[in-house]
Amino acid sequence: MYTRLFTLCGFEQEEIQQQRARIDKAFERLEISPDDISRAEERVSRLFDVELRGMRLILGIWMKEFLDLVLAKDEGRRVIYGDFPPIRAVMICLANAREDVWVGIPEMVIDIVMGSFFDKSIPVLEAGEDSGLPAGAAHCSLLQARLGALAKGWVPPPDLILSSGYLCDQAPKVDELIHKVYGSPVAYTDSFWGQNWGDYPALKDERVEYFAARIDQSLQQAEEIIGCHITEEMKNQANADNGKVWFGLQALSDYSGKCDPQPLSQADQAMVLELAFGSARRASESTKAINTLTREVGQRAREGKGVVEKGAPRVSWYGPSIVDPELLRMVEGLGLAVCVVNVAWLSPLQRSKTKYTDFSRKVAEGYLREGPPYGSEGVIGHFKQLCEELKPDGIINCYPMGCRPCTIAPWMTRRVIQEEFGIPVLTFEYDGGNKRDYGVEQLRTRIEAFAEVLRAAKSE
Amino acid sequence: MEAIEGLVTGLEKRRAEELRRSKGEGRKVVGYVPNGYLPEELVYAAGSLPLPVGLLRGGEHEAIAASALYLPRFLDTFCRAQIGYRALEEDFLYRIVDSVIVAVTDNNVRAIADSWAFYTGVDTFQYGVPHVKDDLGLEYYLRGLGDLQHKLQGLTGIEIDSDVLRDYIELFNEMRDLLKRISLLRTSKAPPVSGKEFVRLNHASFYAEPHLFVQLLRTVVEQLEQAQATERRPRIMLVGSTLAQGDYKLVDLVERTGAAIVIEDFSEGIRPYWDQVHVDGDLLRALAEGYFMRNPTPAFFRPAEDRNDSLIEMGQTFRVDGVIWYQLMYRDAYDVESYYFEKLARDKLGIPMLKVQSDYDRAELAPLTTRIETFVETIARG
Repeated sequence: MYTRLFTLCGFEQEEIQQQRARIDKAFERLEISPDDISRAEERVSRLFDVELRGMRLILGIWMKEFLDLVLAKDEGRRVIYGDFPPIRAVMICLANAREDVWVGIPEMVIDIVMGSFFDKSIPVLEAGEDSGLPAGAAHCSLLQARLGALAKGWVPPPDLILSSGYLCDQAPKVDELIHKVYGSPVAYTDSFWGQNWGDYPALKDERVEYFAARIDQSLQQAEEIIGCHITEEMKNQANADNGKVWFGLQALSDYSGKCDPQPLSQADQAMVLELAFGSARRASESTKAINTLTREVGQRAREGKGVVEKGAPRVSWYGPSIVDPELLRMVEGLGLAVCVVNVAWLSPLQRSKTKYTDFSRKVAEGYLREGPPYGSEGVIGHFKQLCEELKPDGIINCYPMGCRPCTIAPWMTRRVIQEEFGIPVLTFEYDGGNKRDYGVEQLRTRIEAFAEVLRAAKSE
Repeated sequence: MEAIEGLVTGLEKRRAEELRRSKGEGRKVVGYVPNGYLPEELVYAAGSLPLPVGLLRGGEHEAIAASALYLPRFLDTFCRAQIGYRALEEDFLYRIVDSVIVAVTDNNVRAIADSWAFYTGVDTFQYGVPHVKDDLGLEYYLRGLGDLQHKLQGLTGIEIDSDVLRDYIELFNEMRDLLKRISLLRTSKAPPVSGKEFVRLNHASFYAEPHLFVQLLRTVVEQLEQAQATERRPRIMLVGSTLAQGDYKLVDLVERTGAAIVIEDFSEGIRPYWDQVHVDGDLLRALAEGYFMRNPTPAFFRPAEDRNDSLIEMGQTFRVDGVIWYQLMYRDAYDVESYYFEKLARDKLGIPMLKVQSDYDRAELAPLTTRIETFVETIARG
């Protein structure tokens, strides 16, 4: 029944046979019907470049994570949830330490598989809205999915939550709610704001120190849960594993940023980006899959093949939808090359060497030095470096309205980019985890007009 | 007490005149977000300058409409309003500030600092407030206060003298104590002071000259302690993120409906008055301990057990019959907490909770009236 779907996701026949009982159990729990499977087959083959083996392998990693997550408790695994955006190196430490621990961001797994693949993300959002994050209040749809997936019994209550607090206030508060409802303990990895306007790019040492100390505390709490000491060697390995995926993503992104025509859709690259954010397990499998995909995309670039026409206006896009690959496909279908996704792009500042030598400070600094975790100047600074290095023809700043840290600087950013670079900026809010909050067709009208402006400017 | 209304109105006028005069003399005015994490004692002790003026105003949709040019709408109502009031150029206090200091508790408050910094050209200074109330959090809050002290001294050119600082701490301790005494009078069956009057007094504590204010508070306490009230009304605890100066529609409505607001807890707009700052040893550390370790914390602190316990204890002490949760739009931490606090109130206090939301829109008034009237009527029937 689902052989084709799993084949599209890179599974071998033998593997599907081996996994059949697990797949049946997980699909039954999530009420995935034959119609859902047909829809997923159609979507996966249409929305992702499954001709590419690397892409199939990446989709397969998400499917495996999905099965492991849904069945984690049935199969005796300890479960640790991180928040988005996670301190991924810490999660990798724990994932590497014990095979019988599921560590990751459950809502990302659910959104990708149930949303992007099955187009069935709404019920889980509705359950989240009924469980503490009501509709109409611009709550984070990722967190709604987390609450909803727990409420529906799709994912197990965790044994520990590595709660954020270094970016937003909503995630730790939701984790507190989960603690009250399900009894799951929470390790609050706190941080604080306090960069003054004009500080950028300097980062206050005390912010790094404090965040690093909280990372250490959270790691200690996690060690107790998994019953395993995390050595310095393991931390270094985790950092290296994390770096490999991010640098793999950069190599892949380079093809989109620098090749004309753009050889791979950003809808595909989004699956890799989400791996770099939300998946802590299968580190070497992820790296191999990304390398395979990068080689294939390199071949395409050399052959001059692309997903948009050569000479198409090049735009940046803030962040991909996690449940809806159609959106970026639509943008590219309008003849715009999405040369970069902001949240996937590491700026020169982010790529520069750290002055810190120990694990926690390195991780803390890497996290805080730019973008929303730094503050509004960090957001603007990241955009400016992107404009300087990639020289896009236009900026589409589709900021996530459910993310409070992301909603402070959009107007400021538009002013700076237009005044300093003369690059047209289209700014709009949307929620990439909640299809009910925008319409692809409604956005098509706005983006089409923007594309015309860019084409006219390019032809002058 | 009609006298309280007259008193605070007089204080408002007097303060405006003082500021106008001071500004004319070339003195600097420092604005700040009244969220309980900026020890005003430090500001005053930095010399007669600068003068703290709370960015305290709220409740009017005009400010929200004006803010739309500067910030997207998906931020807290009160925090958006602060750049809106500045843009409207109507309020003298928002025009005269030379510097804005923000103790950043969450992203919404950060938006105040960032929008003022980016759009107004006013010098802004922010320092972060950690969200975990332990020794580590305290140490970093203390470092923030050290930066603040340095900033203030730079602004005024005056080295903070520890004797002067101690005097101000003692003065503010008395202010806190007097506010606490007034507040505790509301534990009686028939409170001699209304919720609106207490809120107005508390708001005055942010803008009035502190010596004068303490002097007046002493008189108010004396009068209130002798006052006799007899009317028994349904008793309400009001909880939320911000109760701004001017945002009185809910308070008025509740009390007009026949209930009494006997206790309130807000992150911004209500001065914390339960705890004192000790004056032993290092005074900066004493301020940090007093301001950071206090109870109850705002909802951004984690975990919330302390806060929840404090709110429940307040409910018991003030023998409340119901909770009204005043939710401003897009203030996530409070919105999430309201979900489980309703159950806590029911389980631990045996009382109902009503949650109402606002984006400072006049159109809210009619449905709000219906809901408040129904709620008060329900609890009045027991």
